[in-house]
Formats: sequence, structure tokens, C-alpha cells
Amino acid sequence: MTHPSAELLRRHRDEPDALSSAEKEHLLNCAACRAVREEIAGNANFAERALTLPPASLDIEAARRAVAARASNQLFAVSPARSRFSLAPRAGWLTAAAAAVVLGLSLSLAPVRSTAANFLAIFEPHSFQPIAITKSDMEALNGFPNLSSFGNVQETGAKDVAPQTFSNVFDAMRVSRQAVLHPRYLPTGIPDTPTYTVLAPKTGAFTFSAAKARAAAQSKNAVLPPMPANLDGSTLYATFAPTVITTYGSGGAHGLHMFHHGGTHRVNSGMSGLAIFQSQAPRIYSTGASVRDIVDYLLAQPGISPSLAAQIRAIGDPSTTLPIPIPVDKALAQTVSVGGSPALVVGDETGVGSVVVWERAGMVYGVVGPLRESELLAVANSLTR
Amino acid sequence: MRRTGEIKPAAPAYNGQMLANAASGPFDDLFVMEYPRLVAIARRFVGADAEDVAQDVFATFARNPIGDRAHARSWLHRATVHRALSHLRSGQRRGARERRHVALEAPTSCGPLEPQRAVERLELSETVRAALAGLPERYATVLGLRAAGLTYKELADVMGVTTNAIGTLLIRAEAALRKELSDDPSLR
Repeated sequence: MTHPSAELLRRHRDEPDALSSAEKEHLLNCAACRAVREEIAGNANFAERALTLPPASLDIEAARRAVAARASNQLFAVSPARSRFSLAPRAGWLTAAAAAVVLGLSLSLAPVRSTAANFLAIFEPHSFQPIAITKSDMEALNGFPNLSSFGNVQETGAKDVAPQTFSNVFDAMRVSRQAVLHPRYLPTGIPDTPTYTVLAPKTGAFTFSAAKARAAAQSKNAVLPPMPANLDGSTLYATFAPTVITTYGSGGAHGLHMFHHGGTHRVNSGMSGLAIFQSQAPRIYSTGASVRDIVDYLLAQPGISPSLAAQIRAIGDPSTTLPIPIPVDKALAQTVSVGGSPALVVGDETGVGSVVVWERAGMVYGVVGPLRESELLAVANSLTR
Repeated sequence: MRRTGEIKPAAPAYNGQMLANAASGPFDDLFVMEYPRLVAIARRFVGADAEDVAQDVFATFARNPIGDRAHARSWLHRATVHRALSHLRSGQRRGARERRHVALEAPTSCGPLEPQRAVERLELSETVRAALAGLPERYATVLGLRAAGLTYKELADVMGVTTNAIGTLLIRAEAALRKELSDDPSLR
């Protein structure tokens, strides 16, 4: 076969699937092509070293005001009617988890503000609060209306961007723009060769719609509390940075997608390994809904038990606390410390495994695997650059 | 210094005045998604002034409604590089050659700059920026955009070429950058 072109070899460095199987085979056996590739890769690696930077810490809301000031006074009056962010219903307790997180995120708007034309960063998790979900809560929440029943949901970023998997940490750092941590300790029996999966960044929006809520209720012959007028048309935006999942052994990444992208990408199945995930903390922005009305409205929906509502209302600082729903008959949660940061460790009592999650300096980290909590915490505390 | 206003929109307005008055959803979506990326692009050229450049580009964009979303993104990326390069070059007319020999800001190691350490730097060095400023604009553009994370498809849209041609452009640009920085011991 003919030699792959130089431009194709260059693209192959960044996108491994750029070459066909036959071309990859050719590359293995062709010294001339390998020499060209090495020269190209040498220059590309040099440029990458010269130009790589960590992500900047940005205040989107302040930037918005600055741009508005430069452009015109009327530039950023935000109108309603658009978008949705994807929290599709799922089976089992994940549905309850999603519903509770939505409620928690909504509650997080509470202490912030409610001006009509501003676009404010109102939520960024710095701690995690377990919310006990009973079996009856779960059954009731399974009947909780889909988020799209309350308004318009939209993924506003690139759609269906597949996760990228690498065997080289530098590739993962280049794509994710993060310094990827690695453990100095791994429990016996866990393979020590990692695989890196990078999930693409995502943004989404949700706009409350009273008309849509009425129509959804009528279609099910249900009577739901009316949406307050000042909720109608309010928009929430969610931004998720790239997530890196470092997997040791097979299947350790199972379930981690639920922390990212609303579960649109299932990167693996089964759980026989260990996985470490990391991402910049997600952020929620609001055009200025009256937050107490959002919370009261959602908590007044059928299916929210008084105990669940009380737990959500009791969250100390809802603008920085992410509620994590814990099925009381399947898991136990406790607050611990990882590297001096408060962390939440959840042990699954059905034998599936445990997870610990914490935040440090604007990054959210987690370790998950079929391990005892003490082993999991030892891995978490050993993470280093 | 050239103004970004000189850059002509690439496509006709869509949906009436949606972008003209920026009072509707698409502008906000675009801002949330693209502002961080514009800053990432501009940082490669102007460091701490990156947000100033990104805000200037977005303000220009808001005043000048342009094409559909894909065109809007491409225009924003292209305008950001153009503005950042202008900013960089205007600040480096004096003594650019001398600054080639200034040590990297951080880390200060004379050894090879490992990727792990590279991602810990806050901004690029004067040396690297000077090298970018000395490259042909198309080379600097494709390097800055690629470093900021644009895909080949996005690069092709911005540069107005095919994705295969992006490979060629990157090969030439990366070789040129390496040549420009060949006397920098910290990057060898």
C-alpha cells in the first residue's frame, strides 16, 4: 500500500483513529514512515511543551459585566425561552439521585440573588452532603416528573462527544488541560498500569416554563402546584469541565459518568478495578430566578417526602454544598478527611464497592472501587502530582 | 494597534437581530461556552491581558451580528488570535530579539521542560511569546488555537482549509516554532 501522507501522520498523533487499520499495520512495518512520524512527533511534542498552560480561573459573571459595559447598556438583558440540560430519567436509585441533586442544585440558588437581568454564578460545590433516601422515597421519586416537564432543557455544548482513552498520562493532560494526579499507593491485587479516559466538557441550560408544566400535568391528569410567575422564564446554566478518569484494572470507571454529563456517556461496565476521577468543580449560573420560589415549588411536588424536603432545606451553605443521595438500605455515608479537605465516603453494602469524593482548590476528586473504605482512603490520601 | 473591528464578519446575520441586541438566549449560550476558550487562546499570546482581549472581541461581536453558530464561533476564534497577535506584536516591537534570550519565567530549570511541569506554569514565557510573534500569522494562529484545544475540524473552519491541510499547517508551524526556540536550553 502507499505510504500515509505526512499530514495524516501528524493527525494520527492527536487522533489515533485518523489512520485505518491497514495504515497502522503499514506504519509498524515501514521504517521510512516511522522516521517521518518521529520527526513530526518530535516537533509537535516540542510545541506542546512550549505552549501548554493550566486552565485559567475565570469569573464568568464579572466578565459578562465587563463585556456589557464595553458593548452597550442593553446587551445582556436575558430573555427566557431556551435550552435544557440533560438529566434524563434513569432506572432505580440513580433516578432518585438525579432528582435529589436537581432539588439540591435548585436549593443552592437560595441565598444568592434574584435580579431579573443578571447572569450570576450561583453554585460551585466545595463540600458534599449525604441525603438519606428511603425505599419509599425512591419509589415515589421514580414517579417524579421528568425535568423537561417543568421547562425546556438543552445541552448547549458539543453533542455526543465520545470519551477519549489514552495509555499515556501526558496525552490525558494535554486533552483535559489538567495536571493528572496519580496514587503512590495501590492495594494488593489492583493492576498498576493505568488507562486514562477524558470526558469532554459540557454545558447545558434549563428554562422554567409554566405552560409546559401545565401541559405535562394535564397529559397525566395530574394536579400539580402552579409555577410561580417569577419562575416562569428563568434560566439556569450548568458548565462541566473535562473529567479525567484514571482506571487501574478493568471496569473501575463504571458509574463515574453519573458525576459528569448527566450520564450521557457510559465509559465502561462491571467493577473489578479502581478508578480515580478529577474535574474542575461544575458551576451553575442563573439569570436570576427567585430561588426560594424554585425550592418551594420543587419540594411541593408530589413524591417529595417531608423528611427528604427537611434534609435539603437543612443544608448549611447550599451555594457550595452538593447533596449526594444515599439509599439508606444500600449504602452508608460518613464524612472523613482527605489530605486535609473534608470528604464524603460512601460504602455500598451490596458488595459493589465504595466511593470517596472531595474538593480541593476548585477541583473535585474521587476514588471508587470494590475496596474496603480504609483502602479507598489510603489510595485517596496517596494521590500526588 | 489594529482594532478587531477591522475583521469583517464571515456570514450574514441570522434570526433577525438576535445577536444584534444580544437580548436573547443564543448570545448567552455562546458567551458561557466560548469566553473561557477565547481566554485560553489569548493567553498563549498576551498572558495576563488575555481576558482584556477576549472581552474586547466579545464586545465587538455583540455590536456586529454575524452568521450562524458555527460561523460565530469561527469568527470569535479568528478574531481573538488576530487581536491577541496585534496586541503581542505592538508590545514587542522594541527589543523583541533581545527578549529571545530571557529565561523562562517558570519553572527556571535549565533541563528539559517536562509536560507535568509545563502544565504548572501560570503563563508562557516572554521567549515563547516572542517566538510566536515572529512566526507567519497563519503559523502562530494554528499553534495558538491548537494549544487552546480546538479540534482539527474547528481549526479547519477557522483557517478556511480542509482538515488534511491542518495537518500540513501544523507540521510547518511546529517546525518553525522549534527553529525559533532552538537556542532556548529549557525547551530542548
